[in-house]
Amino acid sequence: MPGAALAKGLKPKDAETKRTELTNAAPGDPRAAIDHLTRAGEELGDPELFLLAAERAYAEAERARDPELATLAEARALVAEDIGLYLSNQRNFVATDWQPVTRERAFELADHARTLAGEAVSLREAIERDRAAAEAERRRQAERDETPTERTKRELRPGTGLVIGGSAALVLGLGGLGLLGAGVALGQARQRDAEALVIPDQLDQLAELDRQGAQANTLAIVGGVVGGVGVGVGVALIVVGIKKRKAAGPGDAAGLGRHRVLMGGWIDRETGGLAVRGRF
Amino acid sequence: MVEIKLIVGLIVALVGVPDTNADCGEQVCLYGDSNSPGSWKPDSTMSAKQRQAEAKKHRKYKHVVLRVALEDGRGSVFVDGRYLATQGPHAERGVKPGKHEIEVRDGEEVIAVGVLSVGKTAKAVTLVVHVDR
Repeated sequence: MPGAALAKGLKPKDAETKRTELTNAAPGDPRAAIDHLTRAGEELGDPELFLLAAERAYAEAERARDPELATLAEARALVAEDIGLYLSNQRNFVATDWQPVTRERAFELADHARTLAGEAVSLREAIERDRAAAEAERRRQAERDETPTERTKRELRPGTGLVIGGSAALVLGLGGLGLLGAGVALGQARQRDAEALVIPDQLDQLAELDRQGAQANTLAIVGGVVGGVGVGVGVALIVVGIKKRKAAGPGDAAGLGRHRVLMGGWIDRETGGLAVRGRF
Repeated sequence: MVEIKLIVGLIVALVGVPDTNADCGEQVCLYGDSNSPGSWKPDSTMSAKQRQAEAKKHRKYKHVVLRVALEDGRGSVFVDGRYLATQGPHAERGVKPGKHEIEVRDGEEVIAVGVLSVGKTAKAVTLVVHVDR
């Protein structure tokens, strides 16, 4: 029957001897040592052993960042405080033959245990905050890994700016060539219309066709200039950009196949056009 | 009320004492395995002389297994000045029949204090202290 064999009373000096034996026999593993000290504290009703268990639990909680151990440290420290406060009471102390510590030590111990219990609560809260922050960071990182922005990758690839600029110039140039074609076509159409007129009966219409023909010629000239410069500059920039990518190495060049400029066009009796599609 | 009885019954079942002859006061319930497990007198204390006299008077009787369970809160239990665990392998103590001072405290707060009179025919008694009452 637990306790019956130890019912003859306990004095501080005897308790100290037992405590030394028990602490020397404590296992090396921190958690097993905490359990050992707790059981011994329960058997002897010794607040020093509970305090030792609390201190070990606190140290291990801090090392392993384990909130459950911090809770355990708090629980053990609270028992140590209870026993310390009980024995620090004059009436309680003199009325019992079970005095594992002196009354003076009971005072000190209760105070120390109360402080430790408070620190254990703070430690647990700090560990839980750290864990929550680490978990939030882990989630953010996972989200970033799952959906990497293509834009970031593109900006890092050398020569991309030249290819984009060249493509824009090419589009502009092709637009100019379109204008050239349209101007020439319009001019030719007005020429045919003018040759079909009966002069001098349709002299007024001839003047109008002349004006339209001049506009078509202007359109063709502007289109030709813009087209020539645009296409020339665009092709040059794209070529330089692609060379730059190739020179950067296989890793960067690997993305080259995904980045291309596609050109197309259409023409019929009434309209015509060019289309440029780019992926960079 | 039915719920409270069920909870107390569960505690008694867990600590292994038959639920017979319950003597339930305002805060403390006493359970035992005989017709006269004892009685609880709240707010009473015992001096060192009274404890010694009780020990001498009942020294020839066999030990009675005493357990103390706390309900709805925490605290530490002291039986005649010695700490008694409420859980684990040291959660019971052999005491002689007669009077024993019991105190339950949580830090500075004394939750319950009184004198438990253990019956001479009892083999095991359990005191259930309702911390929140």
